[in-house]
Amino acid sequence: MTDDELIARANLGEAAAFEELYRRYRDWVVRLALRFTATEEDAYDVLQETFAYFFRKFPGFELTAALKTFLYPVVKHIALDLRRKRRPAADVDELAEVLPAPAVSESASDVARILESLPPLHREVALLRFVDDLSLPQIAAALDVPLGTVKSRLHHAVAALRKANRGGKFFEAP
Amino acid sequence: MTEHPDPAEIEAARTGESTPEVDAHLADCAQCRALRDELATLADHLAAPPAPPVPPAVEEAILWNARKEALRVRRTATQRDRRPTRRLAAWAVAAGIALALGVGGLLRLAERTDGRFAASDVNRDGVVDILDAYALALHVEHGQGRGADLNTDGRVDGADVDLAARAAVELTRS
Repeated sequence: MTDDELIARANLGEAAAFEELYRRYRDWVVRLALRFTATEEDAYDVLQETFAYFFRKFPGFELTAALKTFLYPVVKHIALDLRRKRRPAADVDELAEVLPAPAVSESASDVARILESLPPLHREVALLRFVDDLSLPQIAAALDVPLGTVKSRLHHAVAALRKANRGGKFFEAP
Repeated sequence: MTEHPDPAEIEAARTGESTPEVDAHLADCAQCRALRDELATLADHLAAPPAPPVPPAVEEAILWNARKEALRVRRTATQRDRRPTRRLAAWAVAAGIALALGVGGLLRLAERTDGRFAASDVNRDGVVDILDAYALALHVEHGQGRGADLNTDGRVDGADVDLAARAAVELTRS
């Protein structure tokens, strides 16, 4: 069943559709939350808050793009808000700077370290692209920025990754 | 395309999001194809690892909330469905009362009235009466039958139903 079909059923109040939407995006939301939160416990709080917010959108929720493009800013906002509550003195920009390394597989730790060194805006686009498999228009929708901005940030991210890869080891097949 | 495409365009080509121009360039340019292959390897490196399992208590809380929200949506839909039924019932009662009063003068031939009342003959039965208001209410609430924009405000809605009812009442009194 497609997301559109599930959302149509959720708009009618079918509990099974709500549950399936949750199960379909649960792991992605947790992984995403872990990019912005310091602990797994906080990530689970973000998971709960995200789906509570999402479910309150029914009835009347309309999917205009991929569901991830709707959920991404929700997860990010809730997670950064939680971090701000944990550290009241820090502002969001500062928090974005101190985001932990992305949760990627062990074999990719070198690439993860390079990603960590990227400016936050470039890193965010790179993660949405290479880890979350979002298309460029979907990334633009998720970040609410023009497509050209996404391409520009991706350009810089790719350039930085290639520069760090001059020895070629990071782009060898895993 | 003589110049190399932007790396972001080549990355887009990796997932089939490119333009015909970029595809044509890739077909002729080994250097850009190599970059596309590098990016594919990078994406493989960064494939998302499994998310940590959600604690059962968190999972159960979210699923409980999903069922609660589904119930709320169903209740909302039920209330929405009831409202027009009540209104239609009111119109039906009004029609019944009018007829029960034996208002012989109520049923006038539409062609004997001026243009305004002729427009009020919504059900085109040749007379203007409370049944026209009922027919119009059916159209407004359920899309059944024909509508009539009696107040010429560009919409067929409850205001037109009221106008039809008033027209019928005026006829009754005259």
